[in-house]
Amino acid sequence: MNLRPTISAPLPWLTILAAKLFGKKNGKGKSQVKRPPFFVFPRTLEFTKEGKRFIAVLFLVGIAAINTGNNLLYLILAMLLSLIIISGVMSESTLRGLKAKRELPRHIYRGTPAKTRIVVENTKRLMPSYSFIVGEMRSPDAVIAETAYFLKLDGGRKAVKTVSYSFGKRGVVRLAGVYFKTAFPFGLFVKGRREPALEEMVVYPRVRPLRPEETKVPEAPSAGTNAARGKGAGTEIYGLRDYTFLDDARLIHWKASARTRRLVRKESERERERTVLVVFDNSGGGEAFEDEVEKAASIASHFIGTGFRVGLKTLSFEIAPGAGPGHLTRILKSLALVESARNEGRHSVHDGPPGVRVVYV
Amino acid sequence: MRFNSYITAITCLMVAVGFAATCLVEELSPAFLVFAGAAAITSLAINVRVMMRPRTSVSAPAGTPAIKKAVEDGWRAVFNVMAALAFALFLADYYAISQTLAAAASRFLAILALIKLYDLRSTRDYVILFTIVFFQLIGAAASTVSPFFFAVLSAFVISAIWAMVVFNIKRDFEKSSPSEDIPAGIFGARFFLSTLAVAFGSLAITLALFFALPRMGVGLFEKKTLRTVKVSGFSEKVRLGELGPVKLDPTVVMRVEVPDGIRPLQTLYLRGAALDYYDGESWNRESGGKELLRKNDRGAFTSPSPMPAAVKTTGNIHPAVPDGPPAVPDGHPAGHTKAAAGEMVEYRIMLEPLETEVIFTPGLLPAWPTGWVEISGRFNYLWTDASDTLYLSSPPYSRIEYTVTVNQPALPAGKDGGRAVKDLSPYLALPPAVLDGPPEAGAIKELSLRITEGAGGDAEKAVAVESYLRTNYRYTLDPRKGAGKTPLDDFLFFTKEGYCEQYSTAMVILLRTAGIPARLVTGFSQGQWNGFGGYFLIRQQDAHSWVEAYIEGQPSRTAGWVRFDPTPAAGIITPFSPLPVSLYLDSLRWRWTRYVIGYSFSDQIRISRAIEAKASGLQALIKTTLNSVKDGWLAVRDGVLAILKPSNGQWRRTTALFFVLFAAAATVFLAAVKLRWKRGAKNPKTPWFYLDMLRILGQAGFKKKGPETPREFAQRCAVPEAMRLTEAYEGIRYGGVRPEEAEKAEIRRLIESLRKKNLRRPSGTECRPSGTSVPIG
Repeated sequence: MNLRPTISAPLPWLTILAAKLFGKKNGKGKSQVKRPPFFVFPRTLEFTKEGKRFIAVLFLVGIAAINTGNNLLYLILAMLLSLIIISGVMSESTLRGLKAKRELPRHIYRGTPAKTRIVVENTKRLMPSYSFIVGEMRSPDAVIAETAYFLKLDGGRKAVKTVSYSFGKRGVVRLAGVYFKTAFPFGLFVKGRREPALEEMVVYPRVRPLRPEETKVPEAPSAGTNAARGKGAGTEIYGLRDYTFLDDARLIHWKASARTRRLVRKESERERERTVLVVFDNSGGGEAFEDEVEKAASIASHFIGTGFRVGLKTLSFEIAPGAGPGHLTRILKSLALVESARNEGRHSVHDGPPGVRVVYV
Repeated sequence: MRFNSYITAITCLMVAVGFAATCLVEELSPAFLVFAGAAAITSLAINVRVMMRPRTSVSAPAGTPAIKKAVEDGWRAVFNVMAALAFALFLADYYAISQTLAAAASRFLAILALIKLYDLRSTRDYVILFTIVFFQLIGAAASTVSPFFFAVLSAFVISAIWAMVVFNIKRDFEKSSPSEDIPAGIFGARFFLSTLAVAFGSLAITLALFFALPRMGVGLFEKKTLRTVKVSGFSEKVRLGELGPVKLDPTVVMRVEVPDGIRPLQTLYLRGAALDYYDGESWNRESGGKELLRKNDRGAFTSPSPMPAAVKTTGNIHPAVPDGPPAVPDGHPAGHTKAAAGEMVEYRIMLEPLETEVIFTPGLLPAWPTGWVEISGRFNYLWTDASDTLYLSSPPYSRIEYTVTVNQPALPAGKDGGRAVKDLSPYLALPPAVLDGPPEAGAIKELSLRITEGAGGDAEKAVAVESYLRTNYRYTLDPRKGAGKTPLDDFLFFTKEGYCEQYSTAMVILLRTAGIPARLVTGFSQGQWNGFGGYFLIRQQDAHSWVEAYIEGQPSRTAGWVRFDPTPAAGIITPFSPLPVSLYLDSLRWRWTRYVIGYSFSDQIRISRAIEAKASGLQALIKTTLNSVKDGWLAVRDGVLAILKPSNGQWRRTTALFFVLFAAAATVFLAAVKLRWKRGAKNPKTPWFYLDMLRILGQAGFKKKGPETPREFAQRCAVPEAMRLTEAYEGIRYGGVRPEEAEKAEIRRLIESLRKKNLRRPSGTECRPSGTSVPIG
């Protein structure tokens, strides 16, 4: 008798079932993702110091009322309980209908306070919201945010407060949402409401002031051998052209303008030798890695700030030299996302192109 | 109004509430209250002056922070020392001087509040002051039953809510902006009105919770603080001639709530003690010892007299009354207006703390006086004696409330065994003065015979004596002294004037002389009817005495004690007539006492039963409604079937046709719904004005083509308004922009302008309407 088909047919299912039932929960893959909790209370509630004392008094009055059977003490007990109910209703009316929006600056650097505008709107028609704070929900990405306090916000109105956010991590940072908290009306309890406001941003590495030896311009392998070609930010005059309103007024060539009776600006030659390639060996790891990323970002920022064209070369990617704040943003963004390339099998980036000053990090 | 002004106003209000609460404590002397009030007013005046000084913050004395702190610490130390002194005073007061906790504690709190009033420097000081006021309120609650407490509590709720809100906002604001001054503008009139509304809401919730909070009735320290009323009008020993002055005392003794709040036609009698022994001067009780009554399974005391065979139906007891009271001839009006013979009537009595352990049972004339069936109240033991007087274990030191169910008219006491009257001899005994002194004894005997002459049975004899006394004697509260040996002689033969005691004593003696057992009963007569509350207000001056005679029944009747009142009506109805206002106030006091102070577990049970009854009524209504709907549906179905089923073949065809029609209608409906849904889904976020624009342009002949983008369409149309509206639309639809008010107004203006514009249908394929040639750059 051949039993194999009957046994083998359910085997895959049995295996899957067994794996589901008895498999390790903390294995790799999907199970590592933290599941959202099944149920989250829509409001948070904390007792203040006064609230705890209030509850203690409430209990005392309750015990006294039961023990003496004195109905006037029951009346006071009912009054205290009614204050709790009223407190709940009023704090709810303050928190309900509030909407908050944060307006973060375009460039955010790790560890540097970022001034953020918190715009809060009270969408209720009539009821004002009193004495509440708006803060950032706890984030796994080490974000420290100040809270914004609003004394009163009338129904249908908006209000803005500027607070400072501080990011403890570079790279992609996710802000989950904001919370509103209020101790209104009686200061016995602090009630909170969370509002999801998912926002992702790239936090650049910290740009720190460089030490004098780090700011030294490196020698180019063949400095001064080739003449510059093309327009650029050099010191030599390249030519003249008509002035447009987009140009800096300081570049107007007054003599030529007087001669030609129209506004003429001068254009400079490109300085080919004022190019720096930042070579960042990202094969390292550990705590020093972040310092190196910061150093690379600071060097790039410094040289772009002093008029150099700066390129970036890492084991993982390469950015051609460029100038200006837009290019700096590109470099900073790349450095924000750079990770250790220890396991990528490459050994060296130490071969810069000929004729370019190279800074090794 | 500046912020400091709010603080001042709140403080004044709070202190006033605390002072009012202190005034409610009964044990405090007026001198202390005057002193405390004067001190509080002085302090408040100083505080107001300090606060009203320009640029002075409540919580910021002048100087550098270090000096400020030193000054605050110094004041705090001074306050602490004074508080410690006050506490020492409190201990001395409690242990040596007043020896009552309520008085000592209230005095202590008042002094503490006064000290704090002179030391209001920081927010913390205010919080301490308000906490003291709260404890003053608790002190008042523990030692008063006055309805003014509710007024004080309401004032406290209003001021406490105001204070807590203002101080909480102040604290939050100072935490976030320590260097700024709180803008006082937010605490305007609107804010105060909102606070007031919140306070009233809080009071409403308070009352709801008060009635809903379960009463356990397990108190270890039941309140016994009311001053007892010395009931000179009622005692278990009556000395003739002592009652007169009492008949002018308006002190309230009890309140008696009658069923349904409808005033009975007859006089209400509240029976206290029955006295059997008269020594010629005074009445005493001699017969028998006390007997403990047992509670039944409903927690009520049952009468030791034979209970009627009660038939319980829906909570009411309908006793089977085989016989009414003995036939009593005319002279007494018929029974209670509401209470037919054999009906149970429930009286609710609220007895002030009296200096006697006797409790009172109500009844009307004519009735078996001991005809109560059930008594329930918050007392654990009840005693009775041979004269059917009811006693508590001790005099009540607080107001007590109890209900008495009376069989109206009641069953006789002597029926069917039970507590049969064993020995009637004490009720026939005549005082030695009457028996031994020949002239008086003979005269009384002769009088008795003369009055009862011609009367058939005992009942008729008793009625004859009663009416004789009523008609031949004059009622006065101040009888003269006559030539008789005893007060009775004076009354009967010489002065022929007196009040209830003389009348009832005379009747008892006359009945006993005629061989009818009789006794004197003391208690109260009905007093003042309060129509506002539906109850009788009984005062000291309503003290009364009357007679109970044991009437032997005729063969068909039964025997028992019957109440007789020989006092003329002038003696029963008190001349005192209070103003309607005072009656109304008393009814408020009564309600307060009845529904708040005396609210108990049994009241909760009654309320829950009433709600249950209402709910079951509602349930029945729903059931009936559903049933009628069901019946209606069945009738319609039967009718439809009857129409559709003329014959078998036709029936099938009709059914098929019906189903086809139904399916077609359903399909059309579903298609319409789907189409509508799809159309709705097409432009889920399209703002109204863009749809309006498309409609207006569409009417003018500009149709937006399928693949065309909004901007292309707007450019093709070349209408400036359309271009502007399209830009706004793009901002909203794709940019997530929320238009501001100004922008919204602009959009409305553009739509209006577009509507008014004379757009003409384009000719041929040209989209541009003639007359508009605005280039779009």
